[in-house]
Amino acid sequence: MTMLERFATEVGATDPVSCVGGRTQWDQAGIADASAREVSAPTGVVEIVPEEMIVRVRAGTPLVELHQALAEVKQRVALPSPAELGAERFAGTVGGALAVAHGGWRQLCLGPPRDSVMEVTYVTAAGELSKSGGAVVKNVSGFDICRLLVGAHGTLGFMAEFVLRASPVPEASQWFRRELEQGDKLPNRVQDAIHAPGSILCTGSHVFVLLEGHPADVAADRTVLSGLGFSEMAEDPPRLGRNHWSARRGSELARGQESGLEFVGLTGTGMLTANSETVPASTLSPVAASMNRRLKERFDPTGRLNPGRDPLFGITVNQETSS
Amino acid sequence: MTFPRSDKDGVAAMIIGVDIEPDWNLPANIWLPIQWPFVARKSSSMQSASRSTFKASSVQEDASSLGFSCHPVAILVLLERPTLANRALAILPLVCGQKSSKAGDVIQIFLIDEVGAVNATPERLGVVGLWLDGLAAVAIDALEIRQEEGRVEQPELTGFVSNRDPSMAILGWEVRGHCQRQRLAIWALQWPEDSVEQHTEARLAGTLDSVDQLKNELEDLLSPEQVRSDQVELGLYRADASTFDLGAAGLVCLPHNTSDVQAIVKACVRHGRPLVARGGGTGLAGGAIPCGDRPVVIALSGLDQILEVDVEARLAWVEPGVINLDLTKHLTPLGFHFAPDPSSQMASTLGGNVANNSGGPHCLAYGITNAHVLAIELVLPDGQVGMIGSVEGDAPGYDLRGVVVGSEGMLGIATRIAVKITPNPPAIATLLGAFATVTEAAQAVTAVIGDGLIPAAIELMDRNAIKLIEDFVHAGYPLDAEAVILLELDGLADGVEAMSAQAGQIMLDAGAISVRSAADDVERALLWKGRKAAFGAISQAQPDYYLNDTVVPRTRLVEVLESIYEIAARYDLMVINVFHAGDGNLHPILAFDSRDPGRLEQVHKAGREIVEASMAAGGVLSGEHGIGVEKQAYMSLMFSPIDLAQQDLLRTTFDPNGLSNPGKVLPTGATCAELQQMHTVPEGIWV
Ligand SMILES: Cc1cc2nc3c(=O)[nH]c(=O)nc-3n(C[C@H](O)[C@H](O)[C@H](O)COP(=O)(O)OP(=O)(O)OC[C@H]3O[C@@H](n4cnc5c(N)ncnc54)[C@H](O)[C@@H]3O)c2cc1C
Repeated sequence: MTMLERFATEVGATDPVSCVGGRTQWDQAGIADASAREVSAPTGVVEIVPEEMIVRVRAGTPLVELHQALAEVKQRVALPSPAELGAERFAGTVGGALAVAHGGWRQLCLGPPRDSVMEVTYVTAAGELSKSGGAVVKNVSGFDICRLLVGAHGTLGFMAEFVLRASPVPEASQWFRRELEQGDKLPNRVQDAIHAPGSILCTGSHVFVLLEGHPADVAADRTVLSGLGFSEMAEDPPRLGRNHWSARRGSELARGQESGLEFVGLTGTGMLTANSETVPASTLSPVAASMNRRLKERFDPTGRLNPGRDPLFGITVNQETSS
Repeated sequence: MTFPRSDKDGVAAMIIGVDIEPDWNLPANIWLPIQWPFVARKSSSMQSASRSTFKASSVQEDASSLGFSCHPVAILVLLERPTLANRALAILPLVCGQKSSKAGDVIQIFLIDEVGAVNATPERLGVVGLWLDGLAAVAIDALEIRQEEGRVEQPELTGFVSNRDPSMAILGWEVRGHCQRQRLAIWALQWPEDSVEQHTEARLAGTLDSVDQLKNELEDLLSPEQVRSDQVELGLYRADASTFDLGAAGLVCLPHNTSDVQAIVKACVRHGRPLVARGGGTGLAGGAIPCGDRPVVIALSGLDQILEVDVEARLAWVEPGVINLDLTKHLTPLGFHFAPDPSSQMASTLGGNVANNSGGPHCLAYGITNAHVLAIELVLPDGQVGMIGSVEGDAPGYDLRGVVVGSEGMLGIATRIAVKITPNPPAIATLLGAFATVTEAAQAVTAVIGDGLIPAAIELMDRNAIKLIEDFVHAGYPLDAEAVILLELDGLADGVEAMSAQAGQIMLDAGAISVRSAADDVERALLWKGRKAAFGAISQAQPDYYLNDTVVPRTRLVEVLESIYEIAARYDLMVINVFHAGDGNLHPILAFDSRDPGRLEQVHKAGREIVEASMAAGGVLSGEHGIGVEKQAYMSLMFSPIDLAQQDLLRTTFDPNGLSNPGKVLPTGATCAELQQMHTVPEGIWV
């Protein structure tokens, strides 16, 4: 019996069961039903194929282990690193990170975590192993269940193994910082001035810019940033918060400022984070909300997977009419 | 007004038009047997009543010149001495429209600018008058007809349509002309009286009554001209650009907005009638083919407005019928583009791109459509409308947007789409590497990627492709090479320069005979023109082609290519490889003549072997064209029954009635073939 098959057997088909990663994001998406039996996904980086820029990794693998293994071949994946989330939250697993699906600083250049998932092997509510996607960089074969599982907080199936897309670590990488002046749409000005920034973070007081890529490009952009009053920084930019909300892309700074919270905005991605339970609620259309419920009912008819968890926890369904 | 007859002094004629106007007068001098296209500018009064039915949209033109640039014009081509040959081949993709009730009436002809044998959406380009007692016409290899002060430049070849084109068959027309490269081509089209009825009677027997009721209802809900039931028109919508001719439409609806779409869907649900969304009809896997009990085809090409461009938010809201390249052209002055660039971008729609999760050469660096779609206004299969995804960060909950992109029209119909727009790169370098063997070229691809470079695009073309393309568009590819690589890098000037030197060196180290860099935009455009004209170029060799689409790990490219050559040789088929090598996305094109008895079946068998070889190398069924009806039967090569049941669970959650584009993707339930039993089914395909 393979590790994955053992995991499927352990998940079983009848009783309520919770999938536990590193418990670092246990506070997300509602309150887990403590009476459910706990299981953990298998661990281990199975295979790294540098020429293909892919990595096969089991869901229970600590994120740190994955990052280290990839660093050895000078590659990386679009999942947050310790510096981005803080060491205590970073004790998490690959599966946990993808069940919650929060990205790190580099979402602007690497895309959201879900875009790097090429294949998922998971255990269904019936305790069966199933697979979606494929281990090649481009694939439109069949319906993309991977998309459903990533970010689903384990409510539709328990992810056991992934094939993730990796990318080369850029030759040059440097953070810059500048203080924010009142009324200045500095993050937008940076976005307009720099062709492909690695990241543009904003807080209530500063803007932080990551330049990454070919050394020649980084050098050219450095000049542009100096012109905008930025200076190089030796330390890391601010960590991202635990709580998330959204803004129209390009207006992260304004929405962050309005919130009155201590926020970090990821310019150009529409994402804001803070360490506060009072972040503005996200909204959803009634049709989308009802599709969410229907999917849960169909994929997990007895509600046995991660009971208590609800990806729509704290979400406001907006008043859009759905005739 | 009479048209010259085909049998009269060998003169044939052609009209390309983009709109109809009741009082449209053709210029008198069309009788002159002139050698070059005559271009008649349309008057400004084209906003006739017909406009609501047939929207004229701008005709495309792009670097590849697979299009023509004249907006509203009619082009008449009169030929002095058409070359008739026995091989059917016509160049201008032409789809014919509404039949006439009696000879002498004006009938409407639709023409499309597209690439390859695409039976694309007729109403997009509109109509022209065609006089029945003449003959009709034909195609030119034309189609870069630039209109500069009435001057028409040297026409060039574009796609082709063969006798197998459903509209030909349904009209009872036969393609008798043959074109010589760079010449004007002829279709001697004839219109046998009553042929339409004869041809379609059998197909539609028994089903018309129930469709009639729905038709009446829809005519009330929309307007009569938005509901088409003319049998010729239905015929136009029964196929797409794939090699499958299995469908039959019950009605064709031309919605103008979301509420029209919603009304159509709800009416279909009430009547238990299946429906199929259709964009540009350029799909290669048969996704837009109407399968099942005479589905209602919902032709979305009339929803073609770019609704909003927000540069600060870097997004655009578009309607689904917007043509991919139109969006990019619209964004060009703002310094942006839409990154996914399928080779069909001058004819395929954003709705189709979203439904098929389409890719293109530049998706190597920028990602395929899914990475560029933020939100979708979706009409669900039960008729509810709602927004999925979000233009504000990530929508909470399950990634519904993510599963709808790529769902081939089976989970709902997109009526508005918010897409990311991408800033144009400040600098671009385009390299052409020539190799003495395909193997070395494929190895060079692996070496480039392995070296940590991520070019914007890496395309590989083999000897057959090079030869056809060179004869066709003179792109400047070396004829002595067995393979060429077209590699593009973009970004800031300094980095691009350094990286292109690096990429060039890697290619030389891998055995390239030569590496050349495009000196300027003109040369770059020419190199790309060759790549994008590849499908049209095939028309010189054979009248039909079957373009397969699989992905293999990049490191296995060499061995899978070898298998492909071996398979093609065994079936005695010409194979042309032109593909997105950077992501291991193979596009072997099997060129053939479908009129050779049994040939199509052999082609499909060879196709299956190619899929199997790709799967054996750790690949997947499709990289960008989707499953549709083409690869439905192969799904079990890649997925277990449990995997497929999970996919079906997703489908039935969205579409409990199974009415939305039935008979596609999932091998469960009835296949299109089973649903369409009256048609012959390619052997070996529907297992
Ligand atoms: C010469 C040639 C080259 C091509 N090159 C490429 C390429 O490089 N890359 C690539 O990926 N593809 C390519 N294709 C395939 C094809 O062009 C793409 O799949 C394209 O996205 C289809 O768009 P369309 O508008 O023509 O859609 P159609 O063919 O009309 O429809 C395709 C599917 O989309 C569904 N659909 C259409 N509109 C909607 C909507 N609004 N809502 C829901 N579903 C909808 C249909 O039901 C159908 O299942 C090529 C095709 C040709 C003929």
